[in-house]
Amino acid sequence: MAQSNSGPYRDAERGGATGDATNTISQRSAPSRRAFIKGVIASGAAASAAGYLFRGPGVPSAHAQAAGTVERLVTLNVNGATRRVDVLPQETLAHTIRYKLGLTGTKLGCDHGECGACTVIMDGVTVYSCSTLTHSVRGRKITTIEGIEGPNGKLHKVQAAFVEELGPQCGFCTSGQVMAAVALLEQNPHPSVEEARLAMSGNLCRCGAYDHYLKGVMRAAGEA
Amino acid sequence: MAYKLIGQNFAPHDVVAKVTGRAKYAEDFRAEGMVFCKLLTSPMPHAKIRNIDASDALKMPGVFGILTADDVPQFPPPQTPILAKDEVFYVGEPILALAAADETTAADALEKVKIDFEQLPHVLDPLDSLYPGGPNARSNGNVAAAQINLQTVKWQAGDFGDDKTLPMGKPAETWSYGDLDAGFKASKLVIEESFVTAGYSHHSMEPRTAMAHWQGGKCFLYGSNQSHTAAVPNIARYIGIEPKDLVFIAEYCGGGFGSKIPGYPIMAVPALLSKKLSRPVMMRITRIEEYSIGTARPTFQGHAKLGFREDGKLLAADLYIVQENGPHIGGGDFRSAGNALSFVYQPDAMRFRAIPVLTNTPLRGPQRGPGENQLVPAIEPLIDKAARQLGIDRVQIRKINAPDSNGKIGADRGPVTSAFMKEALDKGATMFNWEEKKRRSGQKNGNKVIGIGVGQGYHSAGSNGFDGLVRITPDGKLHVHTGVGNLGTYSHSATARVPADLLNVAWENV
Repeated sequence: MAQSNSGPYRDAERGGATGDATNTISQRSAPSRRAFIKGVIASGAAASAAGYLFRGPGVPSAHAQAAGTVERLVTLNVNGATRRVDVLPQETLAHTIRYKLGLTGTKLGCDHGECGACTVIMDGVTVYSCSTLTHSVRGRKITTIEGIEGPNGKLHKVQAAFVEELGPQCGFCTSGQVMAAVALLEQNPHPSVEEARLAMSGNLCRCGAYDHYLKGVMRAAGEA
Repeated sequence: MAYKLIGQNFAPHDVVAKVTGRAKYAEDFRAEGMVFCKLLTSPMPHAKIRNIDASDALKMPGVFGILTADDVPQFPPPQTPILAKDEVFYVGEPILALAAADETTAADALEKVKIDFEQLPHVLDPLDSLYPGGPNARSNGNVAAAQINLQTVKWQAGDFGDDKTLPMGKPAETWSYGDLDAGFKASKLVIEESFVTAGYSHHSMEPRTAMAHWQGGKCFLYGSNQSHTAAVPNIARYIGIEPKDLVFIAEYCGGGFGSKIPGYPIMAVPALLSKKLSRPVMMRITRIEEYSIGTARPTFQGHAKLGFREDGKLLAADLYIVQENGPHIGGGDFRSAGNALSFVYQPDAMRFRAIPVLTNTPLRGPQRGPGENQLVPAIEPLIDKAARQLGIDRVQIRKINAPDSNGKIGADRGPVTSAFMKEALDKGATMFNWEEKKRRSGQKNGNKVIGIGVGQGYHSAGSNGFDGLVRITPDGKLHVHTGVGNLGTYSHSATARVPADLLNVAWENV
C-alpha cells in the first residue's frame, strides 16, 4: 500500500485513520470475509469468521500449487538491512515482519486498520502494516520499532521520553505510538500540542494513556 | 515512617521493553513446528447442534485435526464451556477448533465442516425472558449466576408495572437488614427512580491469543493474563491437568480490564489441540472473536428507593437489579452493587433484591469495579437530588453518609479493614476548590453553561493469598516473586517496592 500523501498528518489528510486502509482491506478481505461454513444446514444460517488469516512461518503451504497462492521471493529494506523473503500475494506487511522476519515488536491489535498497534514507518510516513500488502513495499524503506534505537541500544529520544512520562500502561499499543511519534518529529521537530495530538490520533490506547504519550512526545521535542 | 521508595517517582523495570518492542506478548512466542488453529463459531444466537461432520475438512492436505466438545473437560452449567456441546447460546460461541499448517488452510477447511443446526428462540432483554411465555436463553433455564443454580423463573404479567417503575417479581437473591418500613416512614424525603446501565465490551488491545506445546508431560501455555496466582489452578482445570503440570508463561498482558484474571476457558483449546496432535498450536483470536468471547460488562435494569432524614442521613434503601448475564455464568455484578450501596452510603436499613437473567448475548464478565461502578450512575444522581431538595451541600451529604474504618458492608454488616471516604471527599473538595467553583455553577458563557459535580465509588482493595517470596542473591540483587500479574497497572513494581524499601535496597538492584 503506497501512500501518496506525505507528512505525519496522515489522519487529517486522508479523513480519518482508516481512510487509506479501506481499499487495501477490501481487496484483502475478499477471500477473508466470505462465509466460512458453506455447509451450514439451517434455515437462513450464515456463518462468519472473518479476521486474521495467513500462512504459517516456514511451513510448506498446503495449497502451494493452487492459483494465487504461490509465494514469490521479494527483497525488502527493513531497518536498513536487505531482507529476502518468500511472500504470498495476499500477505500483509505485518505478517511478513512478525512471522517471517522475526520482528515481533510490531503488534496486531485489530488487523483491520483501526487501532494503529501495527504502525511502521515507510519512507518517512507512518502506515498500518496490517493493511499494507508486502508485495507493494518492494524498494521502500521500512522502519519498525526494532529499528529506531541508536547504536549500542541507546534509546531514541521518543523512547526515553515515553519511559520518563510513563507513556505505556499495558504496552500493547506502545510500539505503534513510538513509531507515530518518531515519524512526527522527523517531519516536524517542534510540533504544537495540537499538531502532536493530531499526529498521534491514528493510534488507539485502550488503557487511556493518551495524555502520557502526548507529554512524552512534547518532552522528546524538547517542549516539556 | 519515612519511605525512600514508596510514594516516590520511579520507572518500572519492564517499561523499557515496552518502548523498544522487546516485551513479549502471547502471540510473540514461537515453537518449532508450530501450527495454527482457527475457531468455528456459532452463526446463530441460540440453536441445537444436531450433527457435526468434519470428514471433508479432515481430508484436506495441510489439515491436522479438530477439537470438539467431546475432547475437552465438561463443567456443569452455568459454567462457561470451552467448546459448545449440543447447544449454542450466542453468536460467536466457539464450537470447534481446527488446526492446519497455516490459517488460510484452516479457514478453507472450516468451510467444509458441515453443521446441522436446529434454530431455537433467542432473547436479548432479560425482561422479555421473565415475561410469561417469554423465550429462554437456554433449553434448561433462564436464570443463573455464580452461587445461583440454573433455574427457570417467570414473573406474572402484573409484575411488570408501567414505564416509571421497574417490574419487581420474584428475585433470585435477596437480603435485608434493619427495619426498612420504619426507615422510610421516618424519612423527610423519599426518592425513587429506575435506572439502566450499559454493557460494553472489555476489548483489551491484545486479544486473548494463546499458544501451547507439551514437553515432559507438562503443558507450556503462553497466554495473556492479568494474574498468575489466580490463573494457574483455573487454567489447569480447564485443560484437565494438575496445576503442577501447567507451565503458564504470561510475561506481558496487553490489557485485561477484569476479563483476564482467573484464566478463561478458550485457553484450553490450543493446549488440548496441541496434546491431541503432538504439535505446538498457536490460536490467534481475532478482534471479531474478541467481541464474542472477550466478555462485556453485565447490564443492569434496576430500581432504587432511598429515604433521607432532614439532615441528609440515609435511613432506608431499597434496591432491585435485573442483570443481563449473557448465556453462561456471567458476572456477580448485581451482588457487589448491593454491597456497594450498603457500604458507600451506610443506610440504617436496606433491602437488596436481584435476578441475573440469561440472555443470548456475548459472554458477560467482571470489568473495572464490577457492579460497584454500575451503581454509581444509578445512585449518585439521586444523592444530588436529595441534597438539592434538602438544601444540603452535595459534598456534605456524601460526607454525612460516608463510611470510615468502622463502616459496615453487606447483609451481615461485616467489617472492613479500612475506609477513608470522608478524607477522600475532603481532599478532593480542597484540591478542586469546591466552595469557590460552586459559586460559578450555572454561569453562562455564550452557549456553554458551567456545571460542577461530585461523585464517589468504591472497590475493595487487596486480596489475601497472593503471598510472595523475596530472595537476595550474592550479586546484591533483591528478587521479589509475586503472583500478581503484569498489565498496565504496574502492580508488580508497586509490590516490589515494599520489600525494597523495608530492606533498604536501591531500586536499580531490585
